[in-house]
Amino acid sequence: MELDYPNMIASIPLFARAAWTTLWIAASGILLAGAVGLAGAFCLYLELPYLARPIKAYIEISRNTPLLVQLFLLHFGLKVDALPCAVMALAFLGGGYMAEAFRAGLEAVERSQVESALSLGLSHYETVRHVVLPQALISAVPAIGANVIFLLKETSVVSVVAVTDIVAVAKDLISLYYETAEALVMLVIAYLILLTPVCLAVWRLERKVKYAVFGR
Amino acid sequence: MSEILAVRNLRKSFGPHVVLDGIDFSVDEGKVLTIIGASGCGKSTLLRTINGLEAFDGGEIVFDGERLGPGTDWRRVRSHIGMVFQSYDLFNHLKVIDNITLAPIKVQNKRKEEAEEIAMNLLRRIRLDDKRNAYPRELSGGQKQRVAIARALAMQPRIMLFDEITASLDPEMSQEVLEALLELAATKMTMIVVTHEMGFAKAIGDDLLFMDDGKVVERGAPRDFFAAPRTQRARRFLSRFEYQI
Repeated sequence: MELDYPNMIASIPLFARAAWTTLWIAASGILLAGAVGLAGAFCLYLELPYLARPIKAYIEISRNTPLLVQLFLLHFGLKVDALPCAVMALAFLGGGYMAEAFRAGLEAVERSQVESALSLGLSHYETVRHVVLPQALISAVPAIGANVIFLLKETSVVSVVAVTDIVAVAKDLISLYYETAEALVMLVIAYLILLTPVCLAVWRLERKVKYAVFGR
Repeated sequence: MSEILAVRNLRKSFGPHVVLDGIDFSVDEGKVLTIIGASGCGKSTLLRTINGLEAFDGGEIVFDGERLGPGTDWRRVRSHIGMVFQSYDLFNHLKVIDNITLAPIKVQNKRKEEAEEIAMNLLRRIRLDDKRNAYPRELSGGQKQRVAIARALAMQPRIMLFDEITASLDPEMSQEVLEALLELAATKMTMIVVTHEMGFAKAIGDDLLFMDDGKVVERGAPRDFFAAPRTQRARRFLSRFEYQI
């Protein structure tokens, strides 16, 4: 296939600028999702009254509605501006997945670990802080890593609410030059450049913490 | 020798099921009390009420002159009562040395160097000082259990509670753990040892309780108990172990 290489090279600055937007949305959305997920999982773990039911409902709603629909609702329904809307929707979706990942991690820590910490004189807070949480996080690393990669890829739909991410750049280039293949190849390359380091980092982290502590 | 722990008329039920049905005993400082009995007779629950992992319904527990119960500052009391469990429960994410120093640093506010010095002395005593930087998963069951003992000892407790600590170990590993316990008894540490190892119960204890169905059925010197059990229930219980001898 013959591609218009000069035009592809010329589009690099456009993609590069938009990549920052994609990364920025992904980073803030994922961080918020992590915070929401950890808080939610903790409330479930501590079996806080009144909160468990709404949190479970939130987890189901966030995981069982498409990001596209969440974006539409926030932007066109609730009139949230494009960029905050993208971050909020990603955090809303990711929060549910992250909560499940953290919850599984917390549940993987055996009850007897808590008892043996308490019997050494550690307070409940110290037990959670020094015994439960570190082990829960280590157990949750693969699931959290998978969520990070998943959420980063999910940002590809935010252009529907007029955010200039790398997908929007590709769409603009197509309507400008009718060079569909060129724009899409550039888009694929852009995602590979964004995602490969993240994948490698997740993989290395998994090997380092999980295998070091729990073995294979 | 003064009395360090007294349990009087202790009662505890799980729903309709009576687990502790009026337990009485006391332990003097420097003595070893062994508790034997069939599974489900309430031995473990008894140990767990002493350090507050399980609440009790009636009676009293007096530790070092202080009545334990709902208002107790368990954090302080537990730092004086060491407990070792059947399942070791070393903290998997911490190296051996950090497992041992965690509580002294956090609970007793010891400096890291001081806590590590205590930990290394204990590790040398159980001949595991070469494992200071190993993670628990790299240790055998017997080694894990010895580290768990060292971890409890690092708090310099007044009394140690052992809850069937060899029950999930093979005979060889049990042996090394039981030897560690005998060495500990020789240092005049006050201990309550719940065990299924009859030979060991005979060797280590100054005093022995035989429990059945939530009650203390017999109490006496281990030698006398094993030589001539007074009750039918004790005789029946011991006869189950005869094939081992």
